[in-house]
Amino acid sequence: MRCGFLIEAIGNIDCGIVDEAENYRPVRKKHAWIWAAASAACLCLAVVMIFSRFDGVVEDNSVNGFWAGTAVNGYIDYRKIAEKGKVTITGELKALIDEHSEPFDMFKEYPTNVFDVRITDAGGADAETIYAACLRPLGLREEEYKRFLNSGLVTLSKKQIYAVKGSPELALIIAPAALIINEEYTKTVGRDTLDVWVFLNDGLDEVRKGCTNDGQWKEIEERVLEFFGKYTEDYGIKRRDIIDYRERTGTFHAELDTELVARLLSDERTKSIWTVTE
Amino acid sequence: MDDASIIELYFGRDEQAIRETAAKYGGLCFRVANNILGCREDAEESVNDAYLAVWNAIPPAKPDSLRAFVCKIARNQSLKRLEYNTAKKRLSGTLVPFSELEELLTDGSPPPDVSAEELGRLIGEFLKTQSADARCVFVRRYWYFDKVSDIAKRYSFGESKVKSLLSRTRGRLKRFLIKEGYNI
Repeated sequence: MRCGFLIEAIGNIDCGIVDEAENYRPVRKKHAWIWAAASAACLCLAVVMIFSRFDGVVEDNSVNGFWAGTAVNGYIDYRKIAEKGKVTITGELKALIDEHSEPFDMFKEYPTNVFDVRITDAGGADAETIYAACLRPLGLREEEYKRFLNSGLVTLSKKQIYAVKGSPELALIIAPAALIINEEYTKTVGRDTLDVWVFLNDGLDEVRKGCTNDGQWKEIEERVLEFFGKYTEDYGIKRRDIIDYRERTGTFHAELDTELVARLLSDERTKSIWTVTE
Repeated sequence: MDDASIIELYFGRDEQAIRETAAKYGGLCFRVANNILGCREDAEESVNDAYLAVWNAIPPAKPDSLRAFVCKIARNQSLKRLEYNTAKKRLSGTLVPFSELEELLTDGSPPPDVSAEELGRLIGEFLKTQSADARCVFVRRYWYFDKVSDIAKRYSFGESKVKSLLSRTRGRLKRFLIKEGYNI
């Protein structure tokens, strides 16, 4: 064993380095992540998770209504984060983090970074608004959307879309809220929108718990994949990648790379709503 | 139980310390031992030997990181057992990547006139200058002896990225050691 002394020497490296390798979660630079949130609360968790992994600056007090679950009054803006230095979280978001530090900790597991993002929460917006504001501009035909609404994954009541925790209906919210680009929000705050979004769902695990058998779950999983496949493949994300990611990480989160974000920002179909302003 | 409390138990010569250590770090130690020995029974024995060694080492030792301390002892115990097994021609399914590390060696050169502690310190210094990705992948491979596929899974990298990081880091380490006067 000629290299025995080398193996022994490596055994003597600093304990801090050894510990680091056990705890390390890589942060991917210049990647945007696609998220699903089943509710305002879930979205807030997602944002905090992103913040917790971000190596930029976040100074934002504008988290009013994050829990309200509407498209127009819940948002957070962390554009230009990547250009800045250390993360600073202030205001109400800081208070939320302080108050809920334990649940937020689970998100530290995710290797996540965001390119340049603003998120709005449309969990409680009505289906028509979501279609008009979010999905149509991205090229989804109305009949496709209606087909989805009638797919059994969605329940409409008084024009509101409801998610029932622990039931397959929870899966619904991901789809209508998936491409959240909300012109209503833009009108309300009087700025141009927006940067990224699609999201897939952590809440699917809850759905799974609500399924009575594996077959039911498989069917739902397949339908969600099929639905998202339509969008994601349009934007260069392969269905296989989503499945691989799902298998590898146990979540449905998928990844947008920088090139894709750049393409979205320059795409004629989406340029007006993906405009980055500062 | 937190590490400081476990260490206090060792200082108080309370055998509960070993049970707490096993509960907290037993799995990790076993994984390292099993990577080295490739044999469940041998790995379990090595880990048990490691607990005894930890019991004898603390006090006087008061490690800053109990996890790394215990794991290091388990690693050393397992490497000793591997050497013994190899001498006895007891074949094992070890994952220790000898051939990769031999790339760092100059053909036919004797071991350098430097202690393992000093060489370890130098390698640690070198690793601190590397990116976190490269550093952690190196440590996972050559300290914990994880498989490339397991490292890729752990860090959500592709296997080719892990191999590439390892190869480049080995190359840089070799150049670093030569520059420091250790043509190993």
